[in-house]
Formats: sequence, C-alpha cells, structure tokens
Amino acid sequence: MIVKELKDMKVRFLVMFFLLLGTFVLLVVMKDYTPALTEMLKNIPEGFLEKFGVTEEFIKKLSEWNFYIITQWYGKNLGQFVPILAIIIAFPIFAREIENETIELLLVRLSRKKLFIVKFFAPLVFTFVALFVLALVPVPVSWFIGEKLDTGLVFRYLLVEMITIYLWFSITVFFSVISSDQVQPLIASIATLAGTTVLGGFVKTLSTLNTYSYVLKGDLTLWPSLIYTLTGVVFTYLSWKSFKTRDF
Amino acid sequence: MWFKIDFHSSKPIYEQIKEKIKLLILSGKLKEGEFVPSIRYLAEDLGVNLNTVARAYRELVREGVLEVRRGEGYVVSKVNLEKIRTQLETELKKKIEDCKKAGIPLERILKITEEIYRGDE
Amino acid sequence: MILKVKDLRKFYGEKAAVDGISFEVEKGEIFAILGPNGAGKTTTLKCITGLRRKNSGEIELNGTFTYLPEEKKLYPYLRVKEIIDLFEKIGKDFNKKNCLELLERYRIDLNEKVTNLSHGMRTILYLSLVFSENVDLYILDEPTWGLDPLVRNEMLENVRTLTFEGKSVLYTSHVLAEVEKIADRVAIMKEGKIILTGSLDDIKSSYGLVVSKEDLNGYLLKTLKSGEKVYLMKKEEAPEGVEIEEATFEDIFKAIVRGERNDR
Repeated sequence: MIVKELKDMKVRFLVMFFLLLGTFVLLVVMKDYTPALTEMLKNIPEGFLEKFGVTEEFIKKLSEWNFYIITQWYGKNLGQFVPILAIIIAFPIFAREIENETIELLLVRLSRKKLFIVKFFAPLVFTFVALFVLALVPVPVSWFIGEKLDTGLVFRYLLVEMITIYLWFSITVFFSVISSDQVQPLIASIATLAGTTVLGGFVKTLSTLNTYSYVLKGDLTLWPSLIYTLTGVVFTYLSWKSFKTRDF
Repeated sequence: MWFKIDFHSSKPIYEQIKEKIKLLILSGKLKEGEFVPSIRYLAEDLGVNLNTVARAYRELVREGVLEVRRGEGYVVSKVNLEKIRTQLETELKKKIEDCKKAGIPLERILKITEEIYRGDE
Repeated sequence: MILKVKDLRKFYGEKAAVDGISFEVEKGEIFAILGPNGAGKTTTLKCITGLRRKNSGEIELNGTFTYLPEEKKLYPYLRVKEIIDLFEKIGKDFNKKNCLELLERYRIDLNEKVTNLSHGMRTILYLSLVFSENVDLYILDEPTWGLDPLVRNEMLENVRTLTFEGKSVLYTSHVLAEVEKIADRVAIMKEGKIILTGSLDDIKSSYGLVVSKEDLNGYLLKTLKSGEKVYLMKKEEAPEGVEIEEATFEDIFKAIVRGERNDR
C-alpha cells in the first residue's frame, strides 16, 4: 500500500526534486560568473542598486563561497521553494482519489485510521528525505571543491525547512481532505500561503504569519518554531477528524 | 433431469419445477423409489437459485410427492397418482372452459383430444 | 440473518435520499433492490458499507463483506497485474488464482493499463477482483451495467454460484429481466422508500390483474380506450366473481412504481 502511495506521487516528486537539484547545480556553476556579473553591475548607477541592498560590499561577499551558498541556496532558491514543495506534494493525496472515486476501493478494505496514516505520512517522510538531500548536498560538494561551509547554519536551515514543510503539508492535506476535487485544495493552500505572507509582511503585529521570512532567515528561534510546529499538529489533527467523519 | 425454466413467466419458478417433476412422475420417467438430483445439482443444471429448488422440494415433500432420506437425498415417494391426476384435470377443465367461451366447437376439442391420444399408434 | 437494516434514513441537506427503509438479507440469499434511477439504492449501499454516514436507523452486519461500487473506478495508470497485486495486499482473503482464471476467461490483458480498458472490460476486471475475495456478503451496485448480453449472463451465473457456497448477495439493479433470473427476494425502491418487499416467487403468485369499470382498491396499471381500468391487486383482495389475469413481474413493477392507488 505504501508502494502505491509513493507511485502516485512519483511524477510530482521527481520533477520537483530534479528541478531543485538542477537549480543547485546551476547555482554552483554560476558562481564563477559572479566577477563578470560584478563588472556588469558596475555600469548601473550606484544609488539604484543600493536600494536593494546590492552594495559593493555585498557583491564582494558573494564571491565568498559560504556567503554565496547560504544566501543564494538556503536564503533564496531552496527556501523559497520549500512551502511550494510541500503544497504540491500534498494537494492531490486525498483529493485525487476522492475526485476519481478510487478511494472507495481503499475505504472498503482498510480502516480509515490506517488509510489516513499511510496517506499522510508516506509522502511526508519522502518529502523530508528529498529535503535532507537538497539541504545537505552543499556539504559534500563544498568539501569536494575544497571550500568551507558553515555546517551549523546548514543544519539550522534544515530544521527550519522541515518545520515549514510539515506546516504547509498539514494545511494542504486539510484542504485536500475536505475538498471534492484536486483544484480546490491547490488554490486554497496557495492562496493561504500568499495571504499569510503578504499580511505578515505588511502588518507588524501579525508578522508571525509570514512563514517566508522564517524559512529564508534560517533563524531557529523558539517562538515561531513552536507556533509553526503546533499549527502543523493542529492541522494534522483537523485533517484526521475530517477524514474520519466525512461522506464519500 | 433438465427442463426449460421461464424466468419471465408469471408462474413462480418453484411452481414450474414442481409441475415438471410431477409430470415426469406421471409419465413414468421418474419411478417410485428413484432419487431426484440433489438441490445443488438441479439448481446448477437448471440455472436457478438454491433457494428456489429447495422450496420446490420442500413443498413436494409436504404434498407427499417426494420423501427425504436422511443423508441420502430426495426420493420419489409412493406415488399418489390420483392426486396429481386430479390437479391436471382441474387445469384441463379450465382450459376447456376458456375454449368454450372462445366459441371453439365441441367437435374441434374432441378431434384434438383424439389426435393426441391416437398419435402414439 | 447476515444483514439487517432498520428504519434507515439519509438526508442530503433537506432532501431525504433514503427515507426510513427496512429489510433483511438471509444467509445464502440473493437480495435485489430494484428501482428507477435516483430512488436511493446507491445511497443505501454506501451507508451499509460505511462510506456514508446514516442520519438515523440501524444497520446490523453479521459477517465480512465486499463492495462493487456503481462507478467501478480503478487506478487509471496502474496495469491490471498491479491492481491484482494491490488486491493481494489489501483485498479480503483474496484468491489470486481464481482472479487470474477469470481474467483469462474474459481475455483481459494483464499488462494493459486500466485507462486503456473499455468500460465493459473495467467492469469485468472489478467483478473478477470482487468475486475472488472471500467474504460472507457481496454488495454489488449495478454489477452488469455496460456488459454485453453473453458476459452479463455469465456474470449473473457467477453471482448465483456464490450462494452455492453459502454466501449472500445484496445487489441493486434497474433491469427487471435480470433480477427475475437470480433474485430470491426483492425490494422495490422509489424516492427513498421501499414500496414492496418479499420473495420474488411469492410476489408473482400473490398479485393479479383485474379489469373493472369502477374504481378498485389496487394499483392502476392502465386505462383502456373504453374507459375501463386495469388494476393490479392482491388476488385475495380481488372482488368476487371477477376474472383475475396472471401478472408478470414487469406488470407488478410498473403498477407499483407508478403508484396510482385508490385507498378506500
């Protein structure tokens, strides 16, 4: 049964995994072009770029491997993608089977509890595995090319990303369980992601809503980490309750 | 033992089975003391439900046409030909009355009867 | 008694899809729920199998069961043999050999993807899977829908053979001719209610047709050009001296579902 669940997510999983891995490879390759980039940037009026924090100092630091990887991989490419990865893996888990009516086959032969556990945790665990690979791949790569990488920071980022994945995975699964088709949970979770990010970005008091700043900064501070984890647990529970009692 | 069952007839299937068995007995094809097929065998051969054959047999036992031999099966009991014949005659009477109502002349009925009875010679 | 349903009610919002129905299925019996589309047959089966929650009433199931849903949807991108593997893992006492024999008989290619099978072949596949499970009660929703006549008859025989091993069958259909061939007992359902229930044989023998100029205490089957009416009624309730015609099950079904009844 677990095998079937993994087969179901095969396409989404592999596409995103290799997309991200490709992005990392590109990032490593592109590093050598930063001097050329720096030259290009020198032609743009200074004041303009400084507004975006792209000072000369910043550009110089980019040539530093550690800074480069931390800011471009964890602080940008991977970090930005983390909630989306969770949403895309999670949204069809229940909704596709409900829409296709294949869930009846399973419900008649398995307890709802077992079914929920397999459907929730198999994809989640696999997503974590993908995350481990993507978040930790810079470590051996750095060692291989003889550069230093702040591994403490890497592991903090890993934990932050795990929490973010768990949170958005749970929220999306909740939408997936209460929907009757696949499009609804996808739109709902993306809207929620966008909404919370924007709201948290503009309203100082609701800044915790902005999960993006959390995952991009990599600050494993207690307060937001705890809230996000607990919220994830709440949504996992709500998903279970809804699944347990709904009509199919 | 096999005969055609009409599933869409207004006559219940178990009735059809009962009738056919009685006819077989009357015509001598089933003799006293002979075993009829087990409920399951007959159901399979005829393509009908177990319950249907079971009911037919049950009623035939009640009517004294069949007997149960524990552990062995159903057997044609001491044949009460008289009773079966009376039943057939009642049905014949009804049919002849229908013909009378339909205006079929007596001569025609007698001719048909003769043809059937003489047909074997 | 393998299944007992008592006063089952299921509402969708204000509307009662199942409005207080009761029936029982005995061991070794084939019980058919017959009725027009939208009568509530599928909802009834879904409540019994636990897919939907009933609003009120009792459902007592004394044994294991399996279910063939109306839509017969299988995973489109799996191959037939992978579906069989899935059933080996989660099916109810699944007999793989039996299933493979059935599929070979109907020439279903094990390597074919489910999405490439025609609707009829998918039905045959699902039926083969369900028939190869070993349970006490087989709950089938429109099992022969979409099958060609030869296959349909064979599948009906397969249903009948289940009872030869002491198993019971509960199935729904809106095809009378089929029900007549294999049902022991029937329940006729209309608009959420069961309007007639009993053994098929008894129903056939207890109802008759009567032609009358006056209104009678029965179900109106037809009004003739002469103004006379053809009523379906219980033979024992027919007026004295009046001629009673035998009613086929089709007549009975038509008259009762039409439901034009004079109650005096």
